[in-house]
This record gives sequence, C-alpha cells and structure tokens, in this order.
Amino acid sequence: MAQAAPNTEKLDEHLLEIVRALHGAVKQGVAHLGEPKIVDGAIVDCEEILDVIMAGDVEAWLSEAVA
Amino acid sequence: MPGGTPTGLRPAPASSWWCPGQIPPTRGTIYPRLTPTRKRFDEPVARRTVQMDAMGQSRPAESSTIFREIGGPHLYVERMLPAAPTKLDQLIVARTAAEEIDHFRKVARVAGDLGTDVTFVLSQPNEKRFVDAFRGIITTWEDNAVFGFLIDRIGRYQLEEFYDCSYLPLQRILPEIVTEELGHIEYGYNKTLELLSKGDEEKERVQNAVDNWYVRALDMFGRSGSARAERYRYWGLKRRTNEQARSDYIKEVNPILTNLGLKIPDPLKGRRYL
Repeated sequence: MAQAAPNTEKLDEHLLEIVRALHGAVKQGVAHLGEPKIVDGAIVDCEEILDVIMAGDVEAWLSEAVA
Repeated sequence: MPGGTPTGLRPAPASSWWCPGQIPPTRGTIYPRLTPTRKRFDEPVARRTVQMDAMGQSRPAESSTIFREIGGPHLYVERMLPAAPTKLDQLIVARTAAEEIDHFRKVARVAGDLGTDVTFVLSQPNEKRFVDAFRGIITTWEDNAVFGFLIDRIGRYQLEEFYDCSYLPLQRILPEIVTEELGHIEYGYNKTLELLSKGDEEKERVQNAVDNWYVRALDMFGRSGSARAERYRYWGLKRRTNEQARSDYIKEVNPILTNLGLKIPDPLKGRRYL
C-alpha cells in the first residue's frame, strides 16, 4: 500500500468539523427564517466559518488541531 | 428537468437537495469502458494516474480532473453570500459551499491516502487555478445562478465518468457527491428561471451570463483527442472521450436554453480548447 501524505487524517478531520459546523449553522437559519435575529446570527456564523476556509491557512488549522 | 431532458419551464423538484445519499439515476448513453476486464483496484491504477500527471505538469495533482473540487466556493462566497437576494438564498449559498468543501475533503482524502498532498489547492489565488472557469470572481446574482445551472453540470458530467470505475476508493465517494451536484444544478436552474420571469432587462443580463459561462463550460471538457483522457479510458477510470462528453453536454443543455427562451451562444467563439 502507498504511504499516505502527511496530515491526511488531520486535514480530513478538520474539514469534516468545518463542514458539520456550516451545515449546523445553515440548518439553524433555515429552521428560523421568520426570526430575523436568529437567521442573521446563523448567516454571520456561516460567513465567519467560510472566511476561515477561504483564507486557506492550512498550517494554522493543523497546528491548532495538534494543540 | 435541469439534470436531464427538459420538460418545460417548470421549477425543478428539489427532491435531491435536502435528501442526499441516494444514488442518482444514470443519464444519457452509457459508454463502455475501453478496458475489457472490469478489474477492481484498491491502489495501483489510481496511483499510476497521479504519477502520470506528475510527469508532464509542474503542479501534478491539480491537473487531474478529480482534484479541482474546491474551485467553486472561492468564486462565489465572498460576494454572493452577502449579496444573495433573500436570507434563504444566503443560507443556500453557504450550504452549497459546505457541500463543495466536503467534496474537496473526500477527494483530498483519496489523494492523500495515495501519498499525494493536494492542500496547496486551498490557499492558491483564483487566478492561478488550473481550470479557466474557476479564475476570477462571481459578482452578479445572474452569473451565480447560471454558474450553478451550466458549470455544476460539468461537475456532474465529469464525476459520472468515474461511476463503476476501477479504483474503489474513488468509486465509493461518488454517489453522494453527484447527488449534491444535482442539487446545485437544480438550484441554479430555478434561480435562472426566477430571474427570467422579471422581464426583458433581466433576461438580457441572464443571456450575458449564459454567453460567458457556456463557452467556458465547453472548454472544461478539455481538448478533443486528448491522450490523457484516452489513458484514463484504457485504465478503466473514464468512459467517454472529451469530445463525446462535450457533445452529450451540448445535446442536453441546448434544448434547456431554448426552452428558457435564451439564445444558444456560438460554441466556437472564445473557445480555448477545441
């Protein structure tokens, strides 16, 4: 079998957490579409989570995962 | 339906959007694989694929179709998440991005287990992306809608190529990814339809978006007569040649555009890969 690339497992776990957090925020917002405070908060959460992913600082993610 | 034969100007059912996990129905003609034996591999063929890419490219992993998944969110998240017309649309943009990030995660895991690190894709600027359509940024809602309708469909086409492929770890991750891509296509189609109902001025803006993305979509299938695509077929990783897949896409998309009352752009104008 091939040797896995370094941090394959850690990156996978980190991204899975990110995806779950995003889905959680989306579900929260969709479930409360009639309540502006909750839905706005959910959208802010989505923006914050996506900002981290779009920045793509993989080294920082992985070092946090180790810590 | 946006994912198959058009049946008129009706919104596509959102059946797959909130219920991922089903295996989508096979669409269009099934092309036989070039390899006569359907041997299944847990490693060697896909590993050779990565090595072959490495021979001729400075960024080997990125040049392969299966490693391009993170491209979409970098195009639309920054401007479209805050600018989407309703709160629900904002949330759906976020959900779409979440699904695309998850697609990247799954494919990065397959590559990583083979010893290929594709994390560089997460931090490189859009203008350096391998696929031309993923460079730049989406700034209008019309572009965002048509992108889902036309470009996510390319994702579906390319992923369907790997159905029943010879590398099991890749085959295993496909059904859920393709189901989610079908949701993105439906959403793009429905938003396009919604925009077209707003009158001539909006229709012109949608047509401009179609003119932009249609040609890029055709280019995304790659060059006709590609030697690499031929090797993928030989190894049992893909079914169709680039030109067969492009031709099928045209046959599927053109009637949908016509039904929407949109003009079909010149398929050769502005093309980079013929």
